[in-house]
Amino acid sequence: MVQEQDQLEIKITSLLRAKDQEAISLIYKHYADTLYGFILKIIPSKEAAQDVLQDTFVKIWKNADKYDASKARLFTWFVNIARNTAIDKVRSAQFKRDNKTDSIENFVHKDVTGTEEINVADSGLQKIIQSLDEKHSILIELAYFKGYTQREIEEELGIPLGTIKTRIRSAIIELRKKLGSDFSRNLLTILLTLIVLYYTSD
Amino acid sequence: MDLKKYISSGILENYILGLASKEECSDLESNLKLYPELSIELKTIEKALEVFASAHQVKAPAGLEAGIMDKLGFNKTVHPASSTPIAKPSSHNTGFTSLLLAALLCILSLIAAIWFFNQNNNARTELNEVNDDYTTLKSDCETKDGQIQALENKLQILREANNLKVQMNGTDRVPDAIASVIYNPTSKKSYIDVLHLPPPPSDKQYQLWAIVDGAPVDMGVFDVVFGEDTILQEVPFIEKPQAFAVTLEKKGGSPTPTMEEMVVVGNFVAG
Repeated sequence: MVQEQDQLEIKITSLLRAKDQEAISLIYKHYADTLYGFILKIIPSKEAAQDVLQDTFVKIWKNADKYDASKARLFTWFVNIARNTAIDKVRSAQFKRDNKTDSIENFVHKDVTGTEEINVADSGLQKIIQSLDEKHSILIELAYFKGYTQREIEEELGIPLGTIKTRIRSAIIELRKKLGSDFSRNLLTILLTLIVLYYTSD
Repeated sequence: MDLKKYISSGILENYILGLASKEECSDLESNLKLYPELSIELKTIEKALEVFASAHQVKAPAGLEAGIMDKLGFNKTVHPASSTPIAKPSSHNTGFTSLLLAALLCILSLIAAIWFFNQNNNARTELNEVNDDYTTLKSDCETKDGQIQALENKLQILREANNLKVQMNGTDRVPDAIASVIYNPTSKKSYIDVLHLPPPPSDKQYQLWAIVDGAPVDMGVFDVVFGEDTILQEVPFIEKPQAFAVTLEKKGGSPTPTMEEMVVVGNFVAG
């Protein structure tokens, strides 16, 4: 999977450099849903989120020559563009980021439980994400989806500035571990089930 | 530079999340070029976050792509959505498919293994059966070989030079009885050959006699069960016999013949 993903990124990158329209089709096909879900985390309004998604694509196309593969993966670059576009939108006159002053409880309730939209990601992955330590998932939500600065996180969660960096790291390490272990466990379970099925059906 | 310390400071995560300061960013970017381990770690974190983001994906409305194409001034029909068979990177579909494939492969190899195991077992059983048959045939063959050898030895006796044959015919008591004595004065050996004698009662045995100077001389008892051992039985050699006779006597034989129980008799004609 990872290799295919890398191949896809290479293909899109070269299409973007060549200013080939197919790049946008490919990006849309493979990343639009994820980017849309991402933007909805920052802007719950569907209409506004769709505007941001469109703007994101326009920016991707216009700034294609600025992408540097040695600095970040393509998807990270997309997400950064989407996040910045969304935050700009929120900060503009019609979108005050009210959520920011909400208590953590409200925040978790509103965002970790997801939007009303149909979530198309598979449920196994959802379970892994939900199984993350709450203090870790809040951190990833705030920094990744909301684009909170370290100082804003400090204000929001009351974590000292010095520990935010390392706390974020341990949050992502937990995420990596969960994703890794879940994959091998699934494989083992499926194999064992099949073997048992084979023998009992005889 | 202590890479471990640098990585565990959380700078990579903060860089990806856009939380790092400008100086930290340019620092990191130049370090990335120097230390390949750093880019590997960075990519791993990026991938984890990509999966995290894909867990929150929401289906974008159908008309959105056309809107984007319009905004960019693209003619959508020139470039229809790519049919590149690369899987959606943000979903676990590919992972699941390869899992399914792996599982299928496992089942197939399991089935194949069981099939070969059964085949092997069948072949083993067949081999055992054939082996048993072979052993039986071999021992049969050995038995027959022994019988043939014994019969050949008997044939040798019959073919010896200067053999004389005295045929003894049935008396009135048993008219169809017939037996012979093979008598060889050169090698001084004699044998009895029974062609037909009724089986004796269980308490009786046949006894051979030679008549020498008008008197019977005991030549021993013999059995009439057919077999390579009994077909030609050696009997004591008696000089100058005038006739041979067989009588039915009590088991073990009698010192003198019971004349009423004589079954065959034949005169010796000197050659």
